[in-house]
Amino acid sequence: MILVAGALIAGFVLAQFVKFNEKQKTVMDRIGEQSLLLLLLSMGLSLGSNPDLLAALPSLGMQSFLLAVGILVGSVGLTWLGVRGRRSGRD
Amino acid sequence: MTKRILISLTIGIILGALFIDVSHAPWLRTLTTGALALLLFAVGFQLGQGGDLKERVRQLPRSALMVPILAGLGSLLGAVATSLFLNVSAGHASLAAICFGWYSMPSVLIAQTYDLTVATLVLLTNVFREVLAIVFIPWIARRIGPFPAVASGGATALDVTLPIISQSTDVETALVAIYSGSVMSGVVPVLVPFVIRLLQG
Repeated sequence: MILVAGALIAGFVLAQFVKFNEKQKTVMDRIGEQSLLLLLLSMGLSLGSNPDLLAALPSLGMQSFLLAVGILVGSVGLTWLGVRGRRSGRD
Repeated sequence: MTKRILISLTIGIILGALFIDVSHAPWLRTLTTGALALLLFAVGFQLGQGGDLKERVRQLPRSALMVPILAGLGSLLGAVATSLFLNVSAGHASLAAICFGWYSMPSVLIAQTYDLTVATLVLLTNVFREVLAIVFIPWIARRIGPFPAVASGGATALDVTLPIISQSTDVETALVAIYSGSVMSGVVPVLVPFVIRLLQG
């Protein structure tokens, strides 16, 4: 949590006090993109190298996957319905 | 973006399964933490470049406040509905749903205080939820809307999925993601023990 807040605030403060030109902003965007891919690669490495996770996949993998799909569809669907309704109403 | 996300994640999983040993966990954690910090720094920078933040927060629609509530209830409804077709009780499905993509701490808590098999189910479900959110956020943002994209990330909208939400939407939605992810992360440590107690009867 401290890391999340610290990194976000540091980036925000830098953007407030240092004016970047377009080229420097593009470099910043590229750093963001590349570090995203690095994060996903390292997450994949962590998941793939976890023996407990791999051992549980044959027995619980399909049930967990379908449950995750249901959860994702439920959260996206209800938010879509709720926000859509309110936008046409009070907002 | 979706293609590159899938490729990075898949290469990581394959390399991890084939070549990485559990003893590498500390440096892997350091690598993940470093990449996450760099990424959040870039998101913070984008937020800072976006002009007057106070004004942007003020301009957010009121429906933004509802995002974590709708995402939480939707997760619960989706899990209970799916459990009807699976060999999983509604209670255990609910337990998986209310972790909102956060799999480390809740799984340990469930294993220690309730049941190891259920803890593994919760762990896997939330790993899959996070991976599915990572892969589908760009598509959801484009086709369904920015707030549903935030909702798909659940508690991870505060960290791992925040950069993807930020890159797939705009500064305003990134602010909603920080708010929604914070609220959802905050309720998980309260909800999980509560539901375990209900299940223990």
